[in-house]
Amino acid sequence: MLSLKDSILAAILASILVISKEILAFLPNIELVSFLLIIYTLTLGLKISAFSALLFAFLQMLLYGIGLWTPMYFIVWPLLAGMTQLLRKYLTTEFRLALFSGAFGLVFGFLFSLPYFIVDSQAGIAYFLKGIPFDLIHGIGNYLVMLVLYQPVIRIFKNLTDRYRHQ
Amino acid sequence: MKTKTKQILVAVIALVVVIAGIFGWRAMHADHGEKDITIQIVADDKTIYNGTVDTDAATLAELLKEMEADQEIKLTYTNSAYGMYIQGMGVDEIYSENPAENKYWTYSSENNAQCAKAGFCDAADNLMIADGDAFVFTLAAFE
Repeated sequence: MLSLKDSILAAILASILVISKEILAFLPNIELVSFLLIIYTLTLGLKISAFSALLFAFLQMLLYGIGLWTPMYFIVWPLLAGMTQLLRKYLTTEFRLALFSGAFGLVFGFLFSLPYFIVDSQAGIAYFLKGIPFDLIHGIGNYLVMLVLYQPVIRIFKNLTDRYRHQ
Repeated sequence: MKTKTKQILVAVIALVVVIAGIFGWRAMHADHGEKDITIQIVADDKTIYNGTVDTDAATLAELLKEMEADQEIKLTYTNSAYGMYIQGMGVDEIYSENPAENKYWTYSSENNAQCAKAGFCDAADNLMIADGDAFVFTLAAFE
């Protein structure tokens, strides 16, 4: 369980995820959510980042209603936090982090097509194939965002995390 | 040039190529010839619009934007990852989706080739329209 202080922090971090998603909504599949969740996990650990990912999924459900994508939001974003935690030993350079984030962007569409496969395999295949160009954009976008933003953002986050831990 | 700068540059070029490829493919497959499209809009179980539109739009999204610009219909939408996402439609007033009631706008076509082939209608930005196509837009609550 998270402490009250950590829960409040997770709520703030989830709000930042929502804001970051909304401000880039006009660009198809260019997003900061993956980047920020990876940074959250690296600096604050799995519990807080996974909880903020769940809150983010919940807020998205409140904003956009319930669809076939809803259960995947609750699975995919905490999964990214979990994978980051699992692979953190190997995610030691910004290049590796960029590859990891890019790979997540590439498989994102496939993960979201899974519920469509359950409903109808043809619909699943159609959804996945149709999304491939957007998955490519997602993958390259994630890679690029990590390469450009990792150094400045991780520095600020580490600084803020240290202050948070010692308060 | 630093390795990181090179990597960023390569990624930017790849991004531009993919985006240009998507829009190029769409432009190549677009039919901007003149066509008549029948549009029916049903909200809360009553038909609020039923008419045939003369257009040279290539996609359903282009047609809807054109109808909105001509003030034939009112339209609210967002640009999602898959293109136009309709939030509200109407003629005199806008009938909006209501996620709390699971009420959303959907559309279907009995005779659009792309819809018939796939068994469902694709996102409006990707849906190529042809002369004689008929579309029904429905605002309905899903169980």
